[in-house]
Amino acid sequence: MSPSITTALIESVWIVFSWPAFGLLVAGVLSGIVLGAVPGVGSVIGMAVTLPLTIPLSGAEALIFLTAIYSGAMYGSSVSAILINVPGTPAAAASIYDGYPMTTQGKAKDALGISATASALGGTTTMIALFLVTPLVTSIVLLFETPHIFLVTILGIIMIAVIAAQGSTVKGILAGAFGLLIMTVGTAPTTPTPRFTFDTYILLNGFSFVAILLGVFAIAEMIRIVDIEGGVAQEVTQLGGSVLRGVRTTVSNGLLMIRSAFIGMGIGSMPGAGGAVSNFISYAFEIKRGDDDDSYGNGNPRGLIAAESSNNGTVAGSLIPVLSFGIPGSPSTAILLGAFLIHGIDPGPTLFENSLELVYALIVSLIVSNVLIIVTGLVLIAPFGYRVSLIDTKYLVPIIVVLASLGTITLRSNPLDLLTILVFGVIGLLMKRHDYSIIALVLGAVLGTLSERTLNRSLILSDGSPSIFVSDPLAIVLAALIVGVLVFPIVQRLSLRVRA
Amino acid sequence: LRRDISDSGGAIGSTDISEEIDRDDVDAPDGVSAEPGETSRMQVVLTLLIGGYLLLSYLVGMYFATPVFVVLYGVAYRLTWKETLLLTATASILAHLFLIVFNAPIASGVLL
Repeated sequence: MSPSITTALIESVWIVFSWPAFGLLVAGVLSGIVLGAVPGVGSVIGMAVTLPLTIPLSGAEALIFLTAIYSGAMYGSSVSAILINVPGTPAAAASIYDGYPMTTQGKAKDALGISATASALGGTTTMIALFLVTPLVTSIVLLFETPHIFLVTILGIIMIAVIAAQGSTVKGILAGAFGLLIMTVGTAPTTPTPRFTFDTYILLNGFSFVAILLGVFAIAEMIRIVDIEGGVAQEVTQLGGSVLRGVRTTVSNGLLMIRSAFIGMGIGSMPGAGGAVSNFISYAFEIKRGDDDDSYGNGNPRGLIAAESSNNGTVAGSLIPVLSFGIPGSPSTAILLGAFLIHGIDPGPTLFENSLELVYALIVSLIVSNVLIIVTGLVLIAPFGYRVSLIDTKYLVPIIVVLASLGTITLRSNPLDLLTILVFGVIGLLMKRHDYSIIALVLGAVLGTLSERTLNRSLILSDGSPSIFVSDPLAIVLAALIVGVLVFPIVQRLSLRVRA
Repeated sequence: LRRDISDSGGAIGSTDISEEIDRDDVDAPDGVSAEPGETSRMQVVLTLLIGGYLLLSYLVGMYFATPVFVVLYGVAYRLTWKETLLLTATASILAHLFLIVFNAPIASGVLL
């Protein structure tokens, strides 16, 4: 281990265990578990509404707090999946298949013990792996200069638009382009030129991407779920089983847990494929490996271990693109990127070069988060805390709306932001309904300013010549990747037609 | 072109990466009052309530608009008076915390 890494690691441990960072870490994990366990909230809304609250904090404290919520919510979402057959988020959707049958068989505490242990151990294993690969990631990231960063932002938006297209590639690209377009409103980032302001001062600062995030995630989701009368919860009459037996089951299936966690990490590192994908793939992989296919879906603990360790493994993987290149792979990491930006921290080469201790602080804080998850999960959630899953949706809606609105106005004191959350709430609802990718829109908005700034700087460096974007091997590879990602769906479609 | 726009073009298939709950994928809860893809009356009412809340916040400040919004929400969604009172108190405490802890500019609007 090189001296710079050792120094950064020691500093990172100091950051995590200093006050108030450690208190925020504990608060983040606990609130993440609660938010994840309440169907209809989850990590995205939880992180979105708490993002403005982090303004008074330092960048490290804010990021530690938000990643703790993210990690806690990944575990918390399994509580409702196991007990009431409704996942807090789709990242725990596969946990329903074997978790809920265990509850109906009187083994709810076994399932909750498995969920806490598999989440924590899976998360910790992958975080240690992330720590080990960080020097390699650092050496790659430091090769990137301004033109490369511009190409990476475009590649990120296009990858999200194409890979994660919920409806179609064209819709995905349109959503990403819309995100980029709305961020051009206001004063240009490199020249003091007002654009699309209609001569009103209110638009001079442009749209707040935090207001856009809160609109498309929090407000849109509240409008969507207000329809559900009586909430999604059904009564949980009695919890049977043993938490310790669940822990023993997980530990005795250590290889399965590690395998699933790394599947989650690998999938999480791909832009566009988060916990919602990884838990199903790990689960399906385990069914294929298993000899007794029929037992899966009927309360097989191995199925639950596979799903639970993979979704927490996803957290480590999803940090790789966001820390390395500022490309979030999921809504939660998009919000995390928002936190980086509002605290003046640029993810990417600068972060690894100047603030390696912050990267390690995030890794260390997530390892500590996993310890807290296992303690909280076994001591509090399994015996008592399951009640949070029974909270009715109708009580959540006004509180989330109020929190989102208060957070928005606190951030910039700009009345335009109030209009933004409402308009983007409706836009988000319509986009979801018509299969337009919301994450592509968000990524376009979050990366819009960085993309434009790096484009302008690159063109200044090259005296206006676009050849700077193909002037070295790395730039050529990135440009080829952009074209490849765009062309791939067309080639895929043509090959399917030829086969048909 | 129409097919390209409407069909899934995801390189790894159509992967809904949203981390929100897609309730179509889970067991249908009781009391869903609108078909997926349709706008229900409750959704319209909530949108109007949020619009009114934000407009009132602009006019008199969010500190005063917040309890009004929650009370109207309680009336619109036929909550009991105890539930409405509890929610209003919770929301008002949140607004107060934002005012004193974060020094949020919510105590006044353009009229007040």
